[in-house]
Amino acid sequence: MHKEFFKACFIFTVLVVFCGCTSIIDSRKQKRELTDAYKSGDLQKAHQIVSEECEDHKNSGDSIMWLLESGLIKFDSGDYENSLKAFEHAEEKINEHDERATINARNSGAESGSAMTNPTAIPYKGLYCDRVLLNAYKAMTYLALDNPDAARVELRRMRDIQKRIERQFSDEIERERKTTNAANRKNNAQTRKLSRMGRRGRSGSVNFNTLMKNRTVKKAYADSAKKSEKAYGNFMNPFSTYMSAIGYLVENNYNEACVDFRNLYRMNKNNPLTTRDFVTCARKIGANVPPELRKIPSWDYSLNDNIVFTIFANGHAPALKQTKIELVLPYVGYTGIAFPQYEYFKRFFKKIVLSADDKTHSSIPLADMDAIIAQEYHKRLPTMITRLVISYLVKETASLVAVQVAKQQGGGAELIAYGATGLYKYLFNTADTRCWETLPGEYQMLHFPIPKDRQLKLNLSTLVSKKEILIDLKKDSRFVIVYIRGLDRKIISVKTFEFN
Amino acid sequence: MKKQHIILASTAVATAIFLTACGSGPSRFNAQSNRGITTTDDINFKDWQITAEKTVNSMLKSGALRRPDGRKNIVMISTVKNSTSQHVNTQILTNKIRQAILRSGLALTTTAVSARGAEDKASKQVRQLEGDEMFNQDTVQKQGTAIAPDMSLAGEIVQEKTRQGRTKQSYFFFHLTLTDLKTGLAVWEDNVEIAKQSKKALIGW
Repeated sequence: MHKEFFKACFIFTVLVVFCGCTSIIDSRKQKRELTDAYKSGDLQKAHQIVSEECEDHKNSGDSIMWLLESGLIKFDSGDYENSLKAFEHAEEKINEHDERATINARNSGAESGSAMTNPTAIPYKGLYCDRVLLNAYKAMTYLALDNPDAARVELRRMRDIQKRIERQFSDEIERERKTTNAANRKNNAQTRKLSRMGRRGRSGSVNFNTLMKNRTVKKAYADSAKKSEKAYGNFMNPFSTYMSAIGYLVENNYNEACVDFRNLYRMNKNNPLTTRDFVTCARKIGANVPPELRKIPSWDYSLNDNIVFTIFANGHAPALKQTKIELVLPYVGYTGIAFPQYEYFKRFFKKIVLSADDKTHSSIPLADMDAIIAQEYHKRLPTMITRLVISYLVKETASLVAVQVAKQQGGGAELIAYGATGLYKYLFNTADTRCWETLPGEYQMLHFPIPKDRQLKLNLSTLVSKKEILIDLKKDSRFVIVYIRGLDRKIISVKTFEFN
Repeated sequence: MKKQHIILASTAVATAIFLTACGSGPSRFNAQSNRGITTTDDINFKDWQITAEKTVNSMLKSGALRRPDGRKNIVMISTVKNSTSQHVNTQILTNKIRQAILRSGLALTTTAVSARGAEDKASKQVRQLEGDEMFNQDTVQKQGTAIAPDMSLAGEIVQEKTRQGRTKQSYFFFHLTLTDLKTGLAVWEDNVEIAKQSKKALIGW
């Protein structure tokens, strides 16, 4: 009895030590101080916190998440060298995960850890949309460091990733399905064991269709479906596609830019900016303009010379928060399982207005990150939630087996087993809320010719204390990208990347 | 029971010894040998060597560098555009070609001008010494003495990446051109293709 007890205590301690704090405290809570500082516009504080956190988590399964946050906060702070280092490091780690053997000891270990604790035991590898944006931001960081050649490399990587996302995702879902089936088999074995111990036998199998009968699950699924309605096709992000088009335009490659603009038109046929960009590009290379667009005029200025492209990164991307699904499970009865659900944030800016040469230009919504992230979440939800419930059930049935064994031994062992298993389940009932929280909620875009006086005026609404921000452009630049980051009621940074 | 413990402990010790014995310290090897790390996604030093060797041989054999008047052509190194998804230093290639051209004795290369400005800024800087009291003006290089290039060497590296199942493949296409700057005509062109493939392990650490 003593031996078994100490063994259980040892396993429990090992789990707590090796699974890290995200397994017990959800990541949203861990990042609260950081996100509060960032969202309030205190970039200096956010920079300091994220640097410390990256150091603390450099060998943990959450390191990619912290590095992504770090890269973006440092980019917004203008610390481009360190932003690039963080992004590079995140990319290296993601690639290292991708290059691992199909069946590898580390993943198997993490999977086992996850079955015994919760999904946070599996290293965070980023959403697919994170991976695309990682290279988009790396490209902008290189532009900030005045290295357009390296920026183009990043844009090519971004296109590569965009191309293989769909395939990778279907492979991942297939792997998840196999893991779920294996867990279901394990559960059934446990339930058979319980039956032999005298508990009433029921199947331990769980599937998503059964779970959809639950109100919370059904609502989560319906909400993500509604949010992702605005999405732009399978894992497509119009912002990265637009960045790709800009990359081609800089290279004077109208043919490839036209492909990107055509794709943007397919993603959203009602976007006046990208539609006109497509028409302009198509006419320039003598390609067919769809009949419904023939009346749309081309831009009366060149898209790759003497031009300002302005990106407005508006608000906050949705962040995962921990909620509970209340379910009635076989053997266990009524229970609450922690699971992650997205929280969406209000945007305070509808658009931005820039004045140049006495003309005003307004930004046009391009990519709604709420929809893009919701789409990926929606696709993952069935396997994610089924797995979560199965894993919970595995733990519950294992606990029941432990209690049954203890009961048979007598001498108060049952009480200790109840306490220990209860504490264990309570501590590890944590949702995996890891995500890239500092991303914007939306990207807007506008472009216009470089003004003669080479000065832009960013007109701000009454929400902001400053009424306008002046942006001076260099004398000889032919191509300008202005990146404006807007948070709640605040413009925290305006950056210009200029080249010839 | 005791026997089991001994077996378990021996296995653990053996594994630890095996794992620690796996590594090796840094060592030098001949860069011309076939040793070195080969990766699928990147251009490794051997790829640069192969490309430089093939293109130089092709260029020298073509006779494009020879002039009928016996004077040596002056070649400027323009841009080798990196159209791959890797950050590469194309100077490794251009420097190798430049050296081979000089060694051949068929032409000379200039460092006073390149696509990204002068490779050696000194040619311009020394002319700024004109009128500087510190310098003996007879020794200062005069304006109008530098020789402009007759030819320009440029190129592009393109990469195509493909994946199927556990296999991934990279195809690198190195294309170089030599342009007669007087006429704007390409007097020599060639390319080198390098294809690499690797398969992800099925089982591993």
